[in-house]
Amino acid sequence: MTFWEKMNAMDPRWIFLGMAVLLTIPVLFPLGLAITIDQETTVPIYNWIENLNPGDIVFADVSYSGGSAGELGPQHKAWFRHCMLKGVKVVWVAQWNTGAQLGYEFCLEVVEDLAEEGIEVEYGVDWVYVGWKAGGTTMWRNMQLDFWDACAKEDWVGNSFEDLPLMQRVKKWDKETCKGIMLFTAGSPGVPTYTTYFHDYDIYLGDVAVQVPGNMNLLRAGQIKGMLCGLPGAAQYEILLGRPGQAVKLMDAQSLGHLWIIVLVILGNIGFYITRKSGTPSG
Amino acid sequence: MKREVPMVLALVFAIIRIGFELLQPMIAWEFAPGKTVFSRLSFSLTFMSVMGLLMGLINLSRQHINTIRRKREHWVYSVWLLIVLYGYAIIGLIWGPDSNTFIWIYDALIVPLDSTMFSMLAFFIASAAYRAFRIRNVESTILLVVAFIVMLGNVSIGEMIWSSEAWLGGFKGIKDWILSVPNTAHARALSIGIFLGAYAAAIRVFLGLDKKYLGGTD
Repeated sequence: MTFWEKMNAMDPRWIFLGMAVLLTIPVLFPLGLAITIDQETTVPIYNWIENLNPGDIVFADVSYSGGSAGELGPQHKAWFRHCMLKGVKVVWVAQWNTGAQLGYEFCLEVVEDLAEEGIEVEYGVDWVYVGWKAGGTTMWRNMQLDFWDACAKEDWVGNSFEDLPLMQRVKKWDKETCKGIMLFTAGSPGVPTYTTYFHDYDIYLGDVAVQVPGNMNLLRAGQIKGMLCGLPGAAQYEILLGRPGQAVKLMDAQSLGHLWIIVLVILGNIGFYITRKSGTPSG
Repeated sequence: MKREVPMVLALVFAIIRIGFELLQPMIAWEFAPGKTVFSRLSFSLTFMSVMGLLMGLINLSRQHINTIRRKREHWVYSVWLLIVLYGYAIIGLIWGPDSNTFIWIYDALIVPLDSTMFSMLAFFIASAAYRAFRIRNVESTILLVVAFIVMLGNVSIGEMIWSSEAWLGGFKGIKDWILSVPNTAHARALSIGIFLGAYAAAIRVFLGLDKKYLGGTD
């Protein structure tokens, strides 16, 4: 058996081991590879929050679950941190039941981090987490008509809207109240809810990398104004905030993971050609 | 009558719903102070959606109870599914969805399991790339070259190999062009096709030309 024949018949566990090592090492020992800020996708989101006035209200949506938390979690935290630092008020809703609690916990993590830095953020005044409400996409249409009624006047943890000062300003989800919508999405329901019912709002996306090509046409058409593209988007936002964190650290791992796939494809093709020439059947 | 009544209802409610969305003054029609007819109609859809959840629960339970009764292959998994399904629901109903037990199950089981399933993709993609991604013809060569460029254009190491400040904007510049031009053209064409198809399907239901949702064979 030649070297390439052995390579073609390689146990996939070696490939898995290679991937595991390459993903783990940079997390433990960051390489510090440079990250370029994308002017067309990331910067518009940063500028949107920068240009808002303290006290302005934006809406944000958690349309993801644990499976995409690796990419969208760092985006969520970086963006929410930015809002809190700028004094922008955030009302969170969640289209995904499976991710609503996770989104709430990410917000709490940001609030705790800020508290450790001496920045006080108050629930009900600076942010409210309405969370998931049963009813699917039409529920979001109902929220437009009468936000309080649609949400049964209660947030995710059971507080009445009557007791939350921020909600006194959010009786309706209209353009006067809402200065833009940030949607963190990993699938359906997700973007179409907003491009259908909220098409005249400024919509911004935090997207998983695999969905970016599918949503790029919305960005080109101006239906969405900016997009954080997967983990690189989160890393770029952290750098813009001047506080490199989890996403920046994970970008090195992603780089090596991609490189490993490319090396495997090249090796696989070399093996394929050599064994085909010698007449040995292969993958 | 069993078929005509639902068909007439579908048509009437389709006309009402579309009429309300298209004719703005109709949205403001109130039946009581602050309560519009449209909002009530819209809420009825929410109730239907919630009823759908209940129907799903009943249907899923029936299927898996049948599997257990007949001792079909892997029936043990059906037992486990029912235990988890009703167990978690009961915990939520008794102690509430914001109880520590309910949240602990979510944090310690659901989120890690979800993340694990998704993370495994990285390993399987690597294995599949090694075994299946072969240059056999022009199409597969184009696919491979585009995949390399998009992968490298997305990560820092691509920037290190061919900088975005260099000729053609490096890997990132070419990746951006691929995503913005050919990819956008295809995605938009697909979206238009899907929506036209969905409209056609909806109109067929409204006009009673498609009766599959009523059951039966026609």
